[in-house]
Amino acid sequence: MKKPKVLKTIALLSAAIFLSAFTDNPKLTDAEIASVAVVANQIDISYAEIAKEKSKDKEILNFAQTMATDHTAIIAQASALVKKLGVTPKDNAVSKQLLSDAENTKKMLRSKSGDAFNKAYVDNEVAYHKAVISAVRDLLIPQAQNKELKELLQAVLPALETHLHHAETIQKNGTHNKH
Amino acid sequence: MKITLLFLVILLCSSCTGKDDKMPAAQKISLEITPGEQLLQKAISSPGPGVVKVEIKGMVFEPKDISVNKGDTVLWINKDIFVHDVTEIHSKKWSSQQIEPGTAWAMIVNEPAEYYCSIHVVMKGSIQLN
Repeated sequence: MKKPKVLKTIALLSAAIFLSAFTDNPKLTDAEIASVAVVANQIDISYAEIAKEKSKDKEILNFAQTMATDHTAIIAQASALVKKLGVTPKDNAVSKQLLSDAENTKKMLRSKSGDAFNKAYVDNEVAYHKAVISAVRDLLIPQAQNKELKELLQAVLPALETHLHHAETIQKNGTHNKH
Repeated sequence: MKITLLFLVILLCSSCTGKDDKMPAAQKISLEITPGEQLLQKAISSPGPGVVKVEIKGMVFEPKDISVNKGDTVLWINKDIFVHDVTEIHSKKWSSQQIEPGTAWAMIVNEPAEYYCSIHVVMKGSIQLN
């Protein structure tokens, strides 16, 4: 069927767009890294909010709630740390592009409904988490100067990997409306 | 010296036999630890015979698989930055409900079980009886 292939392509494109924010291998300060980290988490919370509005699938709703809760917890940790360090997260080209690109993804998600939405959401979550894991592991952690910021990013990686595993499990099981 | 500690009540699992019996929800209570309860606090901080500790950290149960004696207490301590729970996986026979970061939940074990975190469904563990 063409539809699932199209949705998967859109998800992969979203991930590519995310990663493209980093293709120039930008050099980021700790303040900019903090901003990117917070924005990346906020984006997944916003995707989860759309899923909670639009999906009736029990698995999707449970997953979306977990994303909202966990990414809120990560933002809280990051906010506490930057406050402690006296660092103000600094908007930068990367964080701005992430936000801009997320708007396109949200528009795509809002245009879907039913099973098509469920599949688009999960496919996007798989692609997005893969991209975020890659960015955190390969760019943000190596570039972080402050030890505590680096440790927080490292502490968050297992959660991102678990989220990815969870999303892949739902993707593998297939999504259908359950009550 | 009184120590205030947020602690979850140890639940008895001896009646976990029928599908119709649901475990009561874990209750969070705040305890002032008196000298007489220091032994319990010691079991929490340094598990001895009869108490087996499982740490929840980095999105895993550590150790993932444990072997205990019937009647032992298993103590799950959430050292992660996320809320987790421990829930019997097949029939949801028992569940801790939410375990906040920095808090713990304990259960006396009388039968083997496989469990998971119902929030992060890929996190799994098991309890075998010796």
